[in-house]
Amino acid sequence: MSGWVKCKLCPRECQLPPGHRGDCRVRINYEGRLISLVYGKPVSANARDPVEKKPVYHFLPGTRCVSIATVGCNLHCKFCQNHTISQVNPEDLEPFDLPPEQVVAAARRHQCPSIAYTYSEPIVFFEYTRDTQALAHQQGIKNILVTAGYINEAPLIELCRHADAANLDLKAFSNDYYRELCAGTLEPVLKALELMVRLGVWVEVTNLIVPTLNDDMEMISRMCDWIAEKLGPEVPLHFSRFSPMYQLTQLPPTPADTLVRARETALSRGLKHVYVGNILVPGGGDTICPDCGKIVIARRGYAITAMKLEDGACGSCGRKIAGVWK
Amino acid sequence: MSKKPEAGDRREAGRVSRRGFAGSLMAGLALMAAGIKGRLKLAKKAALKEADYYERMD
Repeated sequence: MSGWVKCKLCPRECQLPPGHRGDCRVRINYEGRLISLVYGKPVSANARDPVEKKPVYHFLPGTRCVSIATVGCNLHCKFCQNHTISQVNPEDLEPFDLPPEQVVAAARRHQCPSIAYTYSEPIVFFEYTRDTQALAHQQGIKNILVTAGYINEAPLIELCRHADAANLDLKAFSNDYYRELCAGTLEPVLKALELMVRLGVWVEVTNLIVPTLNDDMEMISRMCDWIAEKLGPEVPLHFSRFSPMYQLTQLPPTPADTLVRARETALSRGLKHVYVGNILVPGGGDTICPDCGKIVIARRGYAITAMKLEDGACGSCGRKIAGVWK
Repeated sequence: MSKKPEAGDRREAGRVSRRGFAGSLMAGLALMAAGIKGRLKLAKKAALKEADYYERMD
């Protein structure tokens, strides 16, 4: 094992002989040292992304963020919507040269109150994410992690030190699903979710519903029960529509009816804020007051069409709406 | 003056054929080497930052 290293970033814990890369493609054993190949080298950088696109609906609604992503991912979902960057090597795409200082400068220049680490998987560009987050906080800019949460505890604690919000993609409430469709496991993701909430990060959960694979309402019920019990009923849940993509082109898009039923199921299990995304369903993106039932924030796509939130509370009945509003 | 192998001249045709195969093999290897070299060059262009959260296994 001379010269081998063991990566401790994610539950895979890849053991790498010299010259070999981890499963994420972006961490390489270079002469006995583990090197990140993507530090300061995003392949996607968007200066004015709506935060609703992440999606985070209860975090600075109506604002824009700078979004960055490098190549690589430590999961390999067969339905990945960003596989052209998540499932390639660093040398396959020409990156931008964008060190942390320039990301933060771009956020200031474009008057974005937050930076999102997104599109692929911020866990695999851990050092870049962490350093950019710290610098952003120094300058009063908030950070949003958009992640699948497949990470070990120690690095997650470090990432959360400067994370203000996260959208965590809970693929399904089934270990078999994680194993067969994502090449991962469920348990570390659930632990990451609990830890993030415990550490005070504002967390929203996304569940992509893939027809025939994870659209079973019984499984969705169990997932919602777990969210309500372990994370709390105020944690927003986004059901997202699947589109035929990557290695799952043989399946149809998720029917609107399935998403609406999932939403009704989640509400019936006690979750207070449940959304339907990637499709225009009437009321699917609206924040509804759980007490009086009035619309607090009306949305159409990523746009906010009406805002009746007053000091973080429902403008009609005064009930506090959980979230980070300023 | 080189002699083109004639139809039916199996020994000569075989020798030409082997030379063709060897040539193809060498060309293929050269291309692969160029490809690997190019990829390594691109990889080196990326910023090399030592990662956190790893341990040596020596």
